[in-house]
Amino acid sequence: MLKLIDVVSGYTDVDIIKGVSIEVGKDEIVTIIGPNGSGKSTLMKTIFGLVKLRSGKIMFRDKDISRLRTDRIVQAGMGYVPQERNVFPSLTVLENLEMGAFIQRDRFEEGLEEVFTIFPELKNKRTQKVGTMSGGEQKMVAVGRALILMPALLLLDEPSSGLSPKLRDVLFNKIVEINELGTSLLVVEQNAKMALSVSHRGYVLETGKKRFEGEAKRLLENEEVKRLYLGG
Amino acid sequence: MLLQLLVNGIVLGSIIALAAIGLSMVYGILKFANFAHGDFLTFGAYLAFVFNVVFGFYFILACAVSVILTAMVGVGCDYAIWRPMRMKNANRVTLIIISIGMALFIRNLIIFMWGADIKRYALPVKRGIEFGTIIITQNQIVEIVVAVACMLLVHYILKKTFIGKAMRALADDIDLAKVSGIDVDRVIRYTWVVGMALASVSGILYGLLANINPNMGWFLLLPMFAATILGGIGNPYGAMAGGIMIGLAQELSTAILPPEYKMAVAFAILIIVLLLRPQGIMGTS
Repeated sequence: MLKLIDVVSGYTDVDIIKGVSIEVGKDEIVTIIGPNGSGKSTLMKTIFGLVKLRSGKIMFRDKDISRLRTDRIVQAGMGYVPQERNVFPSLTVLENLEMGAFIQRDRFEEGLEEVFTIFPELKNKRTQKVGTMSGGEQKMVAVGRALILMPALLLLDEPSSGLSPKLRDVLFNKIVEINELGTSLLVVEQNAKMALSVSHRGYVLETGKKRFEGEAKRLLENEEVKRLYLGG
Repeated sequence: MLLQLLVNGIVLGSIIALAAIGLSMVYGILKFANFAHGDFLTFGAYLAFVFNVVFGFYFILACAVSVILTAMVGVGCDYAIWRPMRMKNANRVTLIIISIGMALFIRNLIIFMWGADIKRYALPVKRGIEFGTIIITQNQIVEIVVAVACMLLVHYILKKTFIGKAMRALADDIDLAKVSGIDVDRVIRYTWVVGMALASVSGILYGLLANINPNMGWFLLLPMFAATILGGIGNPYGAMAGGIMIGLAQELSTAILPPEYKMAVAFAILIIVLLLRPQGIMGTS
């Protein structure tokens, strides 16, 4: 589905990502873990055309999307939920979801049904201004906005940040649910254990380079990964 | 007397409000104060004058042509100037300086083409209608009706149309708008269309109220900025309310102060409101 080959990227003249190759297969949940500043978020932004790709190649559904404009990437079937500022606070729930369907408005109704299936909590709040909602609800709107066109691949940047442990559990259940409905996911997560426990595979990123990769179960059991990245 | 000033204030206020909507929307999305906005207002008033007086079009038709052409010039400027600047990530000081240059260019172009003297539309002079102690001219009635209609139209666009919702989304967070797959450039072009069309309408109305001269928009720019800030920068509804308030304050102040202080009164109110509510009346902190 998604394939990164030797990706090098960064801001102005500093390389943050220094030659990373990763892959997300069909129907997979893949998690990237790593310490702060390892380049996890930058890698996501690079995939989505928000950070300049210096060299390497990004393939999505057998097409080269390396230098595609962000809205074309959305059109190609990818969704992205940034870590912060991921909703339009002055718009209502429904309007937020509509914005996700900007490029293919005819698919909005269909997508709306799917989003309400995954987040039935939003159904009764569709005319509420998102800025007045709780953090957990805003997160649902953010994910819902990215899901509305039923993308083949969804990128989630730190989805559990700012959520209470209880809501975090709920969210990871939703991630599994989204996956079961036929969307592959690439998740970047600080909360490494939890993310790996719902994932099929994982990568460990450090200072812009790939350190480990493998099945999520294996990573969770790997002594070195445990000691260095999972807090013992 | 006071009632008369109230009417005059509402008329002036609604003209300022129309112009301020565009100024505020552009600020909300592109994050810069467009100093050329006032001169686009003048430009709109002159286009209507040219088609009305020089080419002999019916006034309404001349107005329609002006609104369309002004909006087209707005879109043209986006293609030629603002979009390349966005692609270069130009900072807002650069954009403001460009807009000041543009303002001077437009004003001098107008003087070069049509001279610096005062112009009027080719319309018959009509007697005002007396309501007890106050007199309301037919122009004033037309101005209020047109302004209210334009405001309702803006409201409809922003709340009900897809592109209008996208404009609000861009004002909220332009980066998230890109990430959502919104064609940001297209939405920005529509924002210019709305802002410039309103500037043209506002210029024509002001030309009807007073007269047409090359400095009309420039002198309205300060009250427009005051209205924008008063209402909460980036909020079109705030701009409407702010515009009416500034217009009322300017006219009502003449009951107790010499008219030279009009502008000062408007700004005194602006300062007081901002001290009490720094984000503006309808702004979010």
